[in-house]
Order: sequence, then structure tokens, then C-alpha cells
Amino acid sequence: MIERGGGVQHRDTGPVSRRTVVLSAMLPGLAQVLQGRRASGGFVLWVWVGSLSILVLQWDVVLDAPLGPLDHKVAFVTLLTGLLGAWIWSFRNLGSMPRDPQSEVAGTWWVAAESFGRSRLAVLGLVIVGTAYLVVLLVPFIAPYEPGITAGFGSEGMLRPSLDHPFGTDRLARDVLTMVLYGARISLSIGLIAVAISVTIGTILGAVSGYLGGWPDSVIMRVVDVVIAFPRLVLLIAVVALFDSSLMLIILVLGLTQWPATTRLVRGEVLSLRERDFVQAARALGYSRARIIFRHIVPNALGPVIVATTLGIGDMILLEAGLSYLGLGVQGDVPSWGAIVADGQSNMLNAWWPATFAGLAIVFTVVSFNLVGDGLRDALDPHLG
Amino acid sequence: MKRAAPREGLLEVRDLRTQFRTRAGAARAVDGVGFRVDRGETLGLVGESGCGKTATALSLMALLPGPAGEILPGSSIRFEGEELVGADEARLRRMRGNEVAMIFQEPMTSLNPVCSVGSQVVEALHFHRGLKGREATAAAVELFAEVRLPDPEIRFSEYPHQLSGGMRQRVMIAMALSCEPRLLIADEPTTALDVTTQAQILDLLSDLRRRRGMAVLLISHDLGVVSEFCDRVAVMYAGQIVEEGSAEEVIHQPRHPYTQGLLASLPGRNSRGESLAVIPGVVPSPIRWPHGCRFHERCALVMDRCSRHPPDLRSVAGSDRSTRCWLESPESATAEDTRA
Amino acid sequence: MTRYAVRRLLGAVPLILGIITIVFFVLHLAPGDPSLLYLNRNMSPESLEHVRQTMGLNDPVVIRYVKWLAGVLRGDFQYSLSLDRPALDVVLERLPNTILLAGTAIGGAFMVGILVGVFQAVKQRSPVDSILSVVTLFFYSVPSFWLAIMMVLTFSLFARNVWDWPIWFPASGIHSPDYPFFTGFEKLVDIIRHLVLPATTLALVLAAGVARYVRSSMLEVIHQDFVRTARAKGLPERTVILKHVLRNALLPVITLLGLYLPFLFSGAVLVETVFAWPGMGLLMVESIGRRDYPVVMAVSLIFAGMVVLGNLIADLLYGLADPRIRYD
Repeated sequence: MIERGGGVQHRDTGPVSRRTVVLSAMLPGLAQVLQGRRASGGFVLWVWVGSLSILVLQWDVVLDAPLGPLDHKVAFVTLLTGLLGAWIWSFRNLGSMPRDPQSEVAGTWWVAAESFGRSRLAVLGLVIVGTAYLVVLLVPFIAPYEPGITAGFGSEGMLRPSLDHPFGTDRLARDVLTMVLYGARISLSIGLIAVAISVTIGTILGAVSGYLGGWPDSVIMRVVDVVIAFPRLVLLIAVVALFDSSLMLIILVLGLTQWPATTRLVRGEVLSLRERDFVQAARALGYSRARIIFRHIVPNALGPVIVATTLGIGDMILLEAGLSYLGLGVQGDVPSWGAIVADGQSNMLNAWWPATFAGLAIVFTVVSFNLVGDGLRDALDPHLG
Repeated sequence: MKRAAPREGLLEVRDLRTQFRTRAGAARAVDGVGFRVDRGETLGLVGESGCGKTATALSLMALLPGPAGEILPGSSIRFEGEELVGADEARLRRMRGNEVAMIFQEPMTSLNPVCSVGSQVVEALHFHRGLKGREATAAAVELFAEVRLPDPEIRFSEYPHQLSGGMRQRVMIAMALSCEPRLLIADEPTTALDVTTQAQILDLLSDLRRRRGMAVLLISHDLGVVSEFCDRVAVMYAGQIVEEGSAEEVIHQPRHPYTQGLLASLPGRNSRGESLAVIPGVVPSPIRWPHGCRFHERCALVMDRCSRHPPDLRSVAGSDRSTRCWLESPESATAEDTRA
Repeated sequence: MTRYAVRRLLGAVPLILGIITIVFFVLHLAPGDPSLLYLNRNMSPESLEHVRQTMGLNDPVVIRYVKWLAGVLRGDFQYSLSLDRPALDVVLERLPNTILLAGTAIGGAFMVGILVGVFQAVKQRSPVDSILSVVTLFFYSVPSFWLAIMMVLTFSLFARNVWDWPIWFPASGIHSPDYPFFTGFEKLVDIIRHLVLPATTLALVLAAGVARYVRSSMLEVIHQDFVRTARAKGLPERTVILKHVLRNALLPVITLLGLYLPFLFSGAVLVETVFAWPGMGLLMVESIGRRDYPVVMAVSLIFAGMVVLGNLIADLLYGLADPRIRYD
């Protein structure tokens, strides 16, 4: 391989054949897959083929979408972004080869990404998670039926899984696959937002506590003790049951009870980073405390935080499912996964499928998040190799 | 120093090759090492860190961290005439601790923190000598006394964190001696200790060696320590032995440029005020050893053929020394050149 | 050690106080009036007012909090609003059931989890390890209530009604309806039969976490120097793993035990709900639904106590297992 100058250059650009260009125009990502970059190329190819088939199969729905309800508009934009994005990505990457592993310029993050990419299960988890969020955005185009529509009792109710209804129908004759697809919206978005809240609070408090020490540290850590010792599910049940449960409330309560673990984690990291040379140097340069904490310390403590975030989303999805199962979840015309399970439970001897498939959706999603989290931990924390 | 009579061979290593599979490729940590330790003899294995000393020692004990590390076929380790490469695990276990014992560099981490030091010695006594209960305890206390651990009865029930570094190393030695091994492998036994303790431990080791008549393979980066303690010295560089001979000769008349460089970098050999000599460059990576002589990139006396053809380990005429350098055999070098 | 334990327990008082204070205010600031749930709606406003007065419902929240706290210090947890019995009695009646379920589950979980984790670590990167990793990841990611439902579906409903298996387990409760007529031995069998499904569900979920933890802990220890020393002594691999690696690898698992103990009391809420197991978790859910505040408060206090006790037990066990730690 010919070495090229410019230390920051990660990839060597080789000649691009006409065949490759045509290939990339038709099936973006395929060229990359053939070059051996199976994960990223495969995902782009998957997005391209998926979006294209949606376009072809649901042409009518897609065409009406820009004038339809909000979720249709969102789905329309997502679809266009997906198609264009896949196309542009594949051309920008054309001909670029996998990076030379011996190269010295690799940054820490690049090393971590490479190590992550070596774990097939972790990459699979990432692809599933990515697909799941795409599904959430595109659900109006993907779901085989309209949500919340019942065909009346009797004839269409409790149908076994079949080609028409891959997951069967429930006692109200709703298509279970459609319910599960729409339910993903609630579960996945609650998980993401609640974790964002808890990680933000946790990181800020942990960094402040670890860096400043003294009384702010004592106060924060006492609060952490109380919140960690809290029987969390009990508090959740109490708050959600007694106040009017809304999406906002559930997200807030989940987010506001999860942060102490992150705080402890970040505090520990910061305590060890605080004494390191680059921080001392920043202090010697007279930087402000805030700048040292958030520009110099926090970025270096991010590894464990990212791992905790990923695993945390899985926890959140499980908790939200538990609340919905108890009938304390988001109330609306579209049931979340936990609520589908609860609803199916009453009728299980006659129709096992609604509860089973909704539950499997939860398991599948949480497993994927945990796979990603495990992969990230191995990648960012090499001493366990 | 001339050896009085030919002694019986205890350990004979021939063409030992050890490989670690890493992400970047296979690392040949040990690449064709051969040496021999006689009964009651002390051999020093010297070299910079990363030259394959410890990998050699772990290969002898069959303790390479698997599955990444392995001894390559074709290697031979003979202990009292018996081949140990490829021997079954039960045989190796009987060898470990019983016939060959090993002590390690880090006395801090080499003892199990949750077991009392006494019980860790008793364990070895139990498995190899079948001692139990009070008998084993008495034997362990006796061993502690032999390694001059103060208050051996009290120490017996203490835990590693309650002992100083020097005392822990004494415990390690007691453990190693528990079954009267015929060969003791000491991997940098004093490196982690402070200077006074170092001297005490070395004293203890040479005392025990004399009294028990066991052979010692001392691994160290410190030529000073080795010259004081050992009968013979083998100098390792980049996975190979580059010079071997009696300690006295190697120290006073080093023949290989690498040995000369190592000696020059020892403090105390130069006159006061003179700066210490350093060998330029770094130890090469075991994933890609340099072509030709492995030392040629750092050698002050490098010649043309050094970068092209690897020299063999040849005995120096008229002595029992050997060295791996083209300077030793200018006439054969031309032969090599033409053959290659 | 005793002094340490006492000091720790005293130190936990503000912690417990903080927890129950938060619970109290969350409950009492929530909209909804418990008196309306339990009183005759046809009562005249005057008599309603009178009853509210005697129940103390008209006092400001802070006054009610002080009164409640003063009562608790005297061992008086007020009367349950829905059951008209002392709240503490209601809770203590459920406690043995929860302990039975939690104890069985936690015992089984740690036994299975440690076994699996050790086995995986010893066989690291073998096909068995990979398969077990997938299995533990599955149970680690499964929602406990769904697993419970699937257990009921398989081992109770279908086993009994569809597949006609000779062995099936009851889906709910702790006793059969005709329990009072059973002999002593039959009673025992009956309870065990009811215990199997909920305990297995909880144990599986917990064991998955334990196994994952033990595996990584073992792998961390297995590469340490003293393990090499043990091998260099010529010890058999079994002894090396069981005596030297496992003992050190289990130290952090003790902390895990401290975390799980309280979790089992509150986290079993969902499983107790699915199986209608009359434990404290189910009582909690029921009482919140009925706005039976005195019972909710009593349960919360016990949960908070469990957290403190769990951590204390874990710390003390840790001290016993790790000679490097001394309490004084």
C-alpha cells in the first residue's frame, strides 16, 4: 500500500473503477461490503433497500404523507433523508480502503471503534438498535394496518398468526404487529429521553462533586445515598399512580431517579483524573474551574458514561414496560408494549400471541441495547480483553 | 574461572520458540533459545525488558498465559533427561513446585490476598508431600525460619497485606523451597524491593542454594546482581541468546557489542563524573524482528553483512563461551555470504 | 465489629428518615382524597367534616407528618384505611410470604449464577461459553413480568389444559382453595407447588445478572499474579480455580448480594402481581391503588430498612471474607 503524506489522513484512496461507481449508484453500500466493510456498508445497503421497498410498496401512502398528520410528515422526511443519506455516504466513501492497522495516527476513539467493530454481536446489536429507531420514525409507512382500528368483535378477533396478521390479532381484533410497531414509539423514546436526562444530571453532579470535593461533594453524595437507597419501583408506582400519568411525568420520574449511578461513576473517574498531569497543567495555565471540569476532565471520563448510558436505556425500557404492565403507563389510543402484554394476559389460554410477541419485542430491544453496551465496554475498557 | 569437573546436566533447553498471538500479529517472544543448567549451578539470564527472559521462564514452567501464548513445535526442554515439551498436565504439575519452583518479580501481587501466608505454604506441602494438619504447619513454620522471617509462628497466620515487600518475597521463597526443588527459577526476585532488602534477599538465596545444593536460574536486567550471584551468564536480546559464558569472563571481557553496551550503562563501572553510556535506539518489536543480526540497528560496530544475514551462536575458540556476532567469525562470514 | 455495625445502623437513621419523608410528601401532596373513597357518599357535609376532623385529614400536611412520625416512634403506624386494622399488622402478616419467595429466589439465583459464571470463565471463548452468554443475556434483558406470564402460560395453563402434562404448577396465590383441609405434609407440598413458578421466575432473572457479574469478575482475577503463583506451586487446576480465583472473584459479588436483597423486596412487585403472591410488593401496589396511606408508609419504611440492612450485611460479609478490611 502506498503511504500518503498528511498525518491526519486515515484512509488511502485508491483508484475507483467504473463498475464500482455504477454499483454504488444502484446499490449504495454494496461496494463497501465487497471491500470488506461489512457492518457499515451492510447497514447502508439495508437502509437503501428498505427505504426503496417502502417507496415502491407504499407509494400511495408516501405520496400523501407531506400533507398528512405529523407522524406521516416525519416519516416522509426520514425516508427521504435515508435514501439521500445512503446515496451520498456511499459516494463519499467510494474507493476508500480500510485503515492500515499499523498506522500511528489512530486516535483513542478510532481504536475503540475498531475494537467495537470486531465484536460481531455488538455490531449486530447496533444494527438492530439503529433499525428499531428507523422503524419508530417510519412506522406509518411500515405498519400493515392503521393503528387502533378494530374490526368489531367476533370474526376478526383473536386470529392466530397468519400471513395477513403475522403476529395475529387481539381480542379487539387489532393487528398485533401494528400494535407492536406503534408501541415501539413510546418505549424507545421514553428510554432515550429519560436516559438523556439522567446522564446529563449525573455527569454534571458527578463532575462537580469529584472535582470540587469539600461540602458540595458531601451534600451531593448524601443525596445520592438517599436516592440510590430508594425503593425505586415503589416511588415510580406511587408517583405515576397518584398524579395524572402523562408521557412527560413518566419520562421525568424515570430520568430523575436514575442519575445517582452515573454520578458515582463520573465522580470516581474525575477523582482519578483530577490528579493527572494534563489537569494540573490546565490549572497552572489559570483556566477557570468550569472550563477545566467540562473541557478537560469530562471528555476524558466519557467512556464509562457512554457504556452506562447504553445499558441504562435497556433498564429504562424494562421499567417503563413494568409500569405500563401495571396499567400506569402512558394512556392513549396506542398501547405501549407493557400494556399489550397486560391486555393479552387476561386471555392467554385462547390467544397467547399478543402477550408473547409484545414481550419478545421488549426482550429483543433490550438485548440489542445490552449487546451494544457490552461491546462498548470491551472497546473502551481494554483491560478486560 | 575454569570449572573443576564436568557436572551432570539438570536442565537442557534447545531451540525454544515461544509465540504470543496478538491482534497485531504473532509475537515470537522467544526465538530459538538454548542453554543448559547443571546440578547446583547458577545461571543468570540477563537482558532488557521485552527481550523474552520472562517468557523463557514461563515456558520452562509451562505457565505461558494460554491460549494466546504457546511453545512452538520443535522446541525441547529436558529436565533430568526427560522431555517436558508436550508432556501431559499431570506430569507438568508434578514438576511444578516439586522439582522446579519459581519466584516472581512482584511480591505484592504474587500472593493471594485473602489467604494467610501460612496456608499458602501449607498448600504446596500438602499437594506435593502429602503433609496435613499440625505436621504441615510445623514444616511451614520451619521453612519460614529457614528464610529468616522474624517470628515465624506469628507470621504463619498473617495475610500478605500485613507484611513488608521483603517479608513477602521471603514467603515466596519459603513456598518455593517447600518441596526441595532441584531448580529454582527466580524471575527478577529483587527488582521490586529497595536496595537494602535486595541485598538481604540475594544473600538469603545464595545461602539457601549452597545449603540445599539446588540449581538456580536467575533472571534479571541487572548485570551487577547477576555477576555477584551467578556461575554462568547468558545475555538475551530480542528473543535470542547473544552471549554466554562464565560470569567472570562475560563481565570482564564481554565479546558481544550488546553485552559491552549493557556493561557500559551500569553505574559504578565508569569513573565518577562521567555520564553513563546508553545504547541508542529501542528494543525491536517481537512481531517483526529486524532482518539479519537483530542488534544491528543499535550496534556501534555494525558491518554490511550484519543487516543481511543473521549470525549464529558460535563458541569462542579455546573457551566454553559462545557469542552471536559476525565480529567473532570473520572468515566464516564470507562463507555464509557466499552460501546465501 | 459490633461497634461498627451499631455505628452504621445509627448512621442510617437520617437516610431512612429522608426516604420516608419523601414518600410521605409525595403521597400526601398527590391529588385525590382518601376520605371520599371510604366514606358514605350520602353523608351530610357536616358529619363528613366531623369525620375528616377526627381522621386528621384537615390538618396541614406538615402537622400530619409530625403526628405520623411521632406515632411511628411509639410503634403506632395508624390504622389501615381500607382494612380497618393496624397498618403494621397488615404489613407484618405479608412479610413471611415475601421472605419465603425472596429467600428461595435469591438462594437459587446465587447458586445457579455463580456456577454458570465460574463455568463460563473457565471455558472462556469456547462454544459453551458463547451459548451461555446468549442465554444469560436473554434472561438479563427479559422483563420479569413477561417471563412470569410465559411461565404461567407454559407450566400452568398449557401444561394443564392443552398438553396434559403430568406435572403442572398453580398460576397464582400461595394456597389452594381447600388448603385448610390439608394435612401438615399436604400443606407443605401445596405451598411449595405455589412457590415454584414465582421463585423460578425471580431466580432466573437474578441469576443471569449474577452469572454475568461472576464471569467478568473471574476473568479479571484469573489473570492476576497470585493465580500464576498457585499454578507454579503445582496445584491442580481445580484447586487453583476454586480456592484462589473463586474466593477473590466472589468478593465483589458480596456487594451484589447487598444490592439484591432490598431489590427483592421492592423489585418483586411485578412478579408478585402476576402470580398474585400475597407478599409486600403486591400489598404496596394494592394499597397505592386504594390510597391506603398508612399501609404504604409502613411498607416504605420496611423497604428503606431493608436497603440499609442489605448494605450492612454485605459490608460485614465483605469484612469477614476479605482480611484486608478491618472494622474498628
